This record gives sequence, structure tokens and C-alpha cells, in this order.
Amino acid sequence: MQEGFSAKSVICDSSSLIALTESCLLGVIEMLKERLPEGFYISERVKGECIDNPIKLRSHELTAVRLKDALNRGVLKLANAGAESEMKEILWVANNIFYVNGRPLQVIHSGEADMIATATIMGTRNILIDERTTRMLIEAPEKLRDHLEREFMRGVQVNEDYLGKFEKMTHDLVIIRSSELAMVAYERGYFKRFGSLEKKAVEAALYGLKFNGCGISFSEIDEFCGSIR
Amino acid sequence: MENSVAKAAQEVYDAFRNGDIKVLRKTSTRCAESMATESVEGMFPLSVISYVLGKMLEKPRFFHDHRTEELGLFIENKLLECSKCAKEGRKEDFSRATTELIEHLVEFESRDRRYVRGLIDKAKLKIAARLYAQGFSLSYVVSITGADMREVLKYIGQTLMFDRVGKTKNVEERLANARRIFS
Repeated sequence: MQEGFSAKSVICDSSSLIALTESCLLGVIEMLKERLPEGFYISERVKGECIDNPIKLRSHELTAVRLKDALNRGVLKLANAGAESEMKEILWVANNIFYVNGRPLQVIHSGEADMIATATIMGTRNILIDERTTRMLIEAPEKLRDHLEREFMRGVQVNEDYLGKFEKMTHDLVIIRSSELAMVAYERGYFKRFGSLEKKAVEAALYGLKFNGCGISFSEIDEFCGSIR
Repeated sequence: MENSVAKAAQEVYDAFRNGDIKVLRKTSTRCAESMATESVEGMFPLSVISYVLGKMLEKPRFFHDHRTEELGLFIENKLLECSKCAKEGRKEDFSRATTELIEHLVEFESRDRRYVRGLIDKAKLKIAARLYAQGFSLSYVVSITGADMREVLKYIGQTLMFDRVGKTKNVEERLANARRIFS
């Protein structure tokens, strides 16, 4: 495990970075970085997904350029965790938890497993992820199983051994979404520049994130916005 | 190869022969939905092909000239070949046949291209979104369909899937965690 990293860092997933950038809210990370001694980290794999690959595509070049700029300026940092073997182990365990018709269901891929492995090796508990499946697998695997059963209209068996192993690997992870970053940024004055439109701005930001794939519901947005009126 | 793949291939062939757009769409969705429990290698290309053929039948420009007969014959022959390969369990031949059909469709569409994103890309996006809705992770659906991650996020962001399923902690608890991190 790498030394020198405390709980004051956040490992970022591609889903959150894309939602923030597409919603023109990358500045939220820049602002909150000041309150995070170790900073926001991305793995090589996430860098590939968010920057290296899309920067070659005209339709997504701008998003990639914005993120590359953030990386160049130190707003995001590259984690050189060397997490390959941990990633493979997490992947194997996670994808042998649920079974349908006697076959294991591969629910997550190396992208998500790599992020969890990087967090583990770096000794940070905090992961920024908008992607729903990984979040449910970590926080409420029984709900994910119920959902899978409804979708496949058949029983989904759980391998309790692998579930126990996965829970042990991830039990102290704290998951936040891009929406929570926007909410905390609001509390810290990020949207004050909009003057009288401040509350409208944070509401619009949350909808923007949702429409760009953040796994937040309309009722959750209403709940937060209701609390600040 | 599973019987379900052979059956699906036959359905696509029959629906295309009959010009049945509705069945083509339903078959595409059903193939996508059964990828996880049946066969990714078999169901994914059939889902793409069925979707694309349904879209092509909707648009007169694809079937308005002498190329129609040639295209139609090619598609039917390839679909029959796919069905035969699937029934006989010849996975590699099935894969080759579906790849050739998809490549031919891409090439045909490119002769009169109207949009930046073609029908094949649209098919991949829809399948990726369906799989994500079923409960598979973003990286997983992107890896098996080849759909673009940003496009998938944008697409699913327009749906109500997070309003129907996905709440694990309440807003107050999440916010408290976030406040603690940035205190």
C-alpha cells in the first residue's frame, strides 16, 4: 500500500468526470480541491476512458480537452497505484456474486474494479462515482439482486462467500456522486456569482448532472432544493 | 450455440422477409435483454442487425432503386446463413456471417449518409442503455457493445431509470458524508 495518502483524497470514476464536464461544472472540483489536502485522483484506466480515447473523436474532443487541461494544471492527479492484481481479484469476486441459470453474472468491468483497487491501494475511502451498478453493489447488493430478478424475470442466486469477500474489500468505502459535489460547492458559495439566481443555478446544475448521466433521481433533487429554499 | 440464438436468427429472417418492422424491433430488444443470460456473442450481433433492418425498412431512401433487390437478397441470404450456422453450432461461421452482414449494412448506409452517427452506432447505443437499465455497469456495457461512454450517459440521463431504481442512501446521509470529506 502506498504511503502518504490519507482519507483526504478522492478517487474519481469516469462517469462523474464526464457528467461534471458535460454540465460545465468542472470548476466545482477546482474549488473543492482547496479543501482536500491530497486532492482528486484518477487512475490510468479512467484517464484512458475520459481523455486519451475521446480526445481523438471530434464529437467528444472538447470534454476530453477540458479534462486534460484539469490534469495538466493539477486539478486532477494521476494515481500510479499499480493496482492490476488487486483489480483482477476484485473483478473476479464481484462477477461471481450473482448467478442466473447456474451462470455467473458479469455485472462490473475492469473500469470500476480498477477504481476500487486504486482506492484500496492508496488507502483512501472516498470514491466519486455516478455509475449506479457499482454503487448498488457496494452499498446495497440485495437491492441490486432484487432489481436483477425483476429484469430477468427469474431467480438470481447469490454466492454468499464471494459476497462476503466483496463486502470485506469495500466495506469502508464512502461513495459520493457529482450531485453531492455540486451541493457542497453550493454551501461553500460556488454559485454566489449568479447573485439572485444562486438557488436556481444549483437546481439547474443538479438537473444538468442528472441529464448527463448522474444516478440521482428527481425526488432527490427536489429534496435538496426544497431544503435550501 | 444455444437454440435461442438459432431461433432469434430465424425470427429476424422471417420478419425481414415479411417487412415486419414491429417484429424486428421487438426481436432486437429481446436479443439485447437476453444477452446476459443466453449468449453475448450470438445475441448482440442479432440485436444490432434486427434494429438496423427495422430502421432501414422505415426509410424509403434505402429501398428506392435497383439496389433494393440486390441488397434484399444479400440480407436474406446472410440471415439464412446465420440461422444455419447457429443451428449447427458453428460459432465462428456465425460470427463471420453476422460481421459480413453488418459491414455490408454500414457500407450501404454510407452511400447516402445523412447523420454523423450511423444506424449501427445508434443500435449499439440502444443496446448499451438497455443493458445498463438491466443492472450492468457502465464500463461493462460500453466494453461489450462498443458504444461511446459519453453517449450512453447522455442517453440514460434522459430516462427515468434512476427514479425507478437505485436509491441506496438518503440525500441527507450522502450530503453529510460529502461535507465531512470537504470540511
